[in-house]
Amino acid sequence: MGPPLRLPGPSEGILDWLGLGTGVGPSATAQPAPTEWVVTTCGYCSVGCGMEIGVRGGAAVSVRGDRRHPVNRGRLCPKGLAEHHTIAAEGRLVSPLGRQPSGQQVPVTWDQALDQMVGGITHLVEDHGPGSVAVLSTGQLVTEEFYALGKLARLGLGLRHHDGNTTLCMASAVSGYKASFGADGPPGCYADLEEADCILLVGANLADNHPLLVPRLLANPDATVIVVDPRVTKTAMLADLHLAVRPRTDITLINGMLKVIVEAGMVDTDYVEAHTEGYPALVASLEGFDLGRVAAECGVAGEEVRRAALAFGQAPRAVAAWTMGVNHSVQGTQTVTLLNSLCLVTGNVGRPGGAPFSITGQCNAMGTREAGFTASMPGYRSYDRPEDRAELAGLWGIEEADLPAERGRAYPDIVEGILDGTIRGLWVIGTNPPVSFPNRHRLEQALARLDLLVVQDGFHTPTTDLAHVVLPAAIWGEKDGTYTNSERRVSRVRKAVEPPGLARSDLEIFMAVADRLGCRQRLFPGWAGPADAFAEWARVSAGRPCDYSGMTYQGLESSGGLQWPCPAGAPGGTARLYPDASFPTPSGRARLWPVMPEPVSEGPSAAFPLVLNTGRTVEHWHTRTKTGRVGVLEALAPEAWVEVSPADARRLGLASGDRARMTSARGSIDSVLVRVTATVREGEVFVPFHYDEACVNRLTLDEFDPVSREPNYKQCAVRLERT
Amino acid sequence: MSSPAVLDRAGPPPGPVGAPGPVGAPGPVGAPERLPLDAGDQVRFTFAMESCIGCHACEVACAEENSTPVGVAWRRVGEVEGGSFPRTRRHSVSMGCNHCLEPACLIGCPTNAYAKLASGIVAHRESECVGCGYCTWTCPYEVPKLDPAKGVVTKCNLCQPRLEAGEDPACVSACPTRALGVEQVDSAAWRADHSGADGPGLPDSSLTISTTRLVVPDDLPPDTGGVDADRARLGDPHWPLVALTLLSQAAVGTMWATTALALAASLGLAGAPGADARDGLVGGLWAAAAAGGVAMVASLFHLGRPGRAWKAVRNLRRSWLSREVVLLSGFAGLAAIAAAAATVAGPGRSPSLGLDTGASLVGLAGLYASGRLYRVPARPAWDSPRTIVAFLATAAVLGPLVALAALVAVHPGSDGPLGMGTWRAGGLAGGGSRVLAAAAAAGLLLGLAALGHLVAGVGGRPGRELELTSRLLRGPLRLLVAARVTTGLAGLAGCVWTVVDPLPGPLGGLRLGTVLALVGPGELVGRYLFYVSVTSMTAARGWWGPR
Repeated sequence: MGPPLRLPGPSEGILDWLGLGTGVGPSATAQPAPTEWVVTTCGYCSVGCGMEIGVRGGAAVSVRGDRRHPVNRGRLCPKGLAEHHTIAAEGRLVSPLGRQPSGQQVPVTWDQALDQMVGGITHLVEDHGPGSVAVLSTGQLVTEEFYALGKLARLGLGLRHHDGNTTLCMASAVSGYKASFGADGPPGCYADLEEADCILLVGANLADNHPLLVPRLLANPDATVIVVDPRVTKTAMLADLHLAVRPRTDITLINGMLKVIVEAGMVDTDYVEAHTEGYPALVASLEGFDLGRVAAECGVAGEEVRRAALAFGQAPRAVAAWTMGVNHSVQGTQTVTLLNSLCLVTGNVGRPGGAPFSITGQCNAMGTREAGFTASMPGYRSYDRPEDRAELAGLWGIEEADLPAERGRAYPDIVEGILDGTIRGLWVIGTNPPVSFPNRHRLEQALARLDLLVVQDGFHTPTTDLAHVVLPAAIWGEKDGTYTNSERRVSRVRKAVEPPGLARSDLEIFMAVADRLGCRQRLFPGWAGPADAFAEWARVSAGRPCDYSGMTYQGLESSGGLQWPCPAGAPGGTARLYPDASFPTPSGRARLWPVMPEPVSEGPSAAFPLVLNTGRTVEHWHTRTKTGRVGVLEALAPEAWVEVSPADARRLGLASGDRARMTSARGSIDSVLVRVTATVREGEVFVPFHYDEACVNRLTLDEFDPVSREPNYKQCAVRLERT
Repeated sequence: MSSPAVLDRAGPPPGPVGAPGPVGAPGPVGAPERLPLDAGDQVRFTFAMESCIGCHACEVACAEENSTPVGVAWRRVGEVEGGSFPRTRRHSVSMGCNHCLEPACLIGCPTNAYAKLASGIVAHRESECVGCGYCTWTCPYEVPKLDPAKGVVTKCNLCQPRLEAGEDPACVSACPTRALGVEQVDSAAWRADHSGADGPGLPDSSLTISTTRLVVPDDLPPDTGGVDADRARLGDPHWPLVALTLLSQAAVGTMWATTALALAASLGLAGAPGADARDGLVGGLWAAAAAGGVAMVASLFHLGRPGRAWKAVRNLRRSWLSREVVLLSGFAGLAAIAAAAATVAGPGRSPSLGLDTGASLVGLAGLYASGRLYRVPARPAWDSPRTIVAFLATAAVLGPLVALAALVAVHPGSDGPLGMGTWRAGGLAGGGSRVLAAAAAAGLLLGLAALGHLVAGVGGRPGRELELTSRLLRGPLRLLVAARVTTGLAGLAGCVWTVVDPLPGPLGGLRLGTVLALVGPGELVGRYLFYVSVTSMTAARGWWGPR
């Protein structure tokens, strides 16, 4: 007997079409469960949330918060929750590209790309000197890569100019810390937000930009939260007191608060006398900042300024935290020192719940500050301190004279150098200047002048479009290393999947360049991977403020990250800096600096009657290189908008949903969506900066802090017209 | 664990804070203690507005958990704003399904794809869904979403599988500030007082008795409302439904007119059509049957899963949509039988008068059901007797004109101008043509009055939705409104002229053609306006609008 005869029946597809099938349609199948979870750290902002990448069949299919991580305790923001989608997003670079004589970019081999790149740089350096080529990197590589890149750029290629997009971001905090305390390094930690009795947030919209710090505020319901921001942000909604100051009147406000604190006798005189210098000059500088003037200039009630000052001054423990509202200013460094001073005179440094605290932007901006060989030499060593130079040269076994004599040009000065013809070659790594640098027109003029533009990135961007050589790099989830977050916590970043196509990790690219230059053995002896870089860096950092010498990969993995300084003798890390009020200044004292407010250089005028403020939104990250390619995030905020007050909208005949043209003295955006909202003051408008398509940096002012060189992104004059 | 967390805005984040042990070791992803549901209790969401920071993590977590495609958001975060600078208040409103006690989606669903589970979850079975989208109209919170790829509606199921595994829903689990929660509620007590489901930017909770409990700050400015609430947006024209409603109304109207003529003839009334008009009357029956059939076929194009269309008759007990389907299909069938019977009967009086009358009555009921199903509280511009009146008016306009045209079509003359039929209908219909023209004129007047009523923004449930509809009709749609009114008035003039002077002969034929050429497109424009001008109630949207 044969097998039973099977009659062909209607296919399941037809049954399903008729509603007679058993399934619920082909697309109803749920995502298959990951077979492996790889513990890592989020690659977006520098809150530094612990997370796990779910892997199945060699692909990242899921993420989840790491419930045991001390930073985020299992929760993530929307970007983090969709981060695995960045890995397989469209637009990844999968092959090196070279520009043909015709102008077209075509896929080339790594050998061809590296030949073109290294040959081009070498020729320029030979013909025009080591100042003719610059490196612009990022805050988003792993620390191991920053350390390697610094050595490669400075000692291997011998370049004089090496900086990163961190100058557009946290440079003012760095120089402000150095000015006040003698060294970089955020003194506080996240736990301080939970322990403080008063939290002053200046120019910091945590709810949009650092969402996972908000639970810390909510966990401390007894604290008085004061938010200083020109807009009624989501964070302002959490405040007990929101001071909606006019743009860049924060210095006036803090001077006014300091004056109230001094006059109310709330200064911690013991601390000031024992551990600071410059107090008399600071007090003298407050003359004239009476509440009447402060209220008039800041546009807030004097009584509210007094309330804020008394709340901060009376609080047994107070935190002054800030982000880009402070840093993005030609007076950013000074404003940071003033916030430091506010904490110093009230004794709020180095103790639980009391600290000045910068909340960093990029996932590893801190890593490049520590190890990057940009504004300082690795380990916060000064270019001009002989003992620092001698120590570093000794550690590396090189001549002191081989170390660069000076920092070289900062980011905006590199751009200037290109425009004046002194810089002819540029190696851009992991950043997208056309969208993120102020005054785009001028930036594009600069990039167009270059003899050689090498761009290394994970994605096609407006910058790679301009490149002569494009190097495809691995991204988060595809490589190993460490990130340092805002509270100096070093956490592990781990590889979950292989990079696509021919893409290589940034470290492998640096090693390949070193091979071509013939300096690999000299600079990176015996390095096989990130662990070797980490081991060397930990050794080089010993004894420095950012001491990693007590850290190992294993220790980082088992602890959920360690906060530096973590010397070999104290492997548990350090929650707060300066607990003993001993500061790395020549006198050992912290410095109080008087700060006078300067008027905004480009105030509103008849031609440009509105003040433009720029910033961020929770759904997107930087120039949308990643988040713009994650469908669920892009759908949440698909294009740029301008926030306009109801009064201005009435006068301009604009309604929500209209499109407007926006113009400054430098450029214009042809079409930006109008959002009429009472969260901005009459006369002020706000645009998020993430969008290449409606790039607000066509309008922004290319003015820079004289010390930190950070741009003044947040105030310029514009005109708005209905289209 | 979950219920207190909603109120406890200061509650510590979950997880063993600082607990020793290797980071990331595999472990349960949150297993909150959950009591079994008591009888009469249901599970529901809670939302603390003041704790929500608008981060959208809940939306992304929901999309990831349920693999929903972009554009099919089971949960979405809207925004409300009130007050003036600098005391402006802005809050976010995160909404999934409210798992209502009187779910409008379930009540209206023609296929019974919805079920209220013992847990209180309003579950939607995709396998039973035809993708008609009616629930997307009836839900005042815009919760059910049509998934274009699947061709069916999908919606939040409160993460039932996770609940069963002892886990919080994905959105609740992801919320960094614990603004979202789940808890149990005594259904009877909630039915008695559900004011906790009301909040700024939300529809009146009594419409469906939403179970979501909101904690709303008590000091919100009185003008606090959805940031998108003032933006008028054109809706979907639903072309298959334009065809369904217009053709079914024309069909039923034609059946009425033809039946009336046949009845008059059978009663031997003065001015009734003579025996020579009989073929024309049979033509009218065929026209009604054809239009009725095409209407039903056209309606299939509205469905995401037309192959399952037969399932749409499953909720006769509650759904006017099911009733519409049955009645209008029945009408089309009866009309075809009547036409066939009249054709087969051959010369002599129509034997199908009983069938004609039956079809007319079923058609009337069908048109009523058709209009009645648009009486959706969530769509205030439709939720008015005006909708039913307007549908019947369309039947009164198109029916008589088609019936007369059928007489012409069956008895074309060769002497007409422009090659068209001689105007014999008047003669064929006798004095009946005056009655039919009067009916069409009345229908036109009623239809124009209904449009005027809507443009004026009166009638139906008052509120911003009706205002926005009115604003659309006065603004971007004003030229179409003008076209509708102009063609209507011109058609009206033609009808009145016919009443005054039936004008048999070629000029009469030209006039009938002209009137049809005016009012046909006019009704089409009117129906298009009906669909695109409606504004839905919604839970507060983000300012980007519907998602």
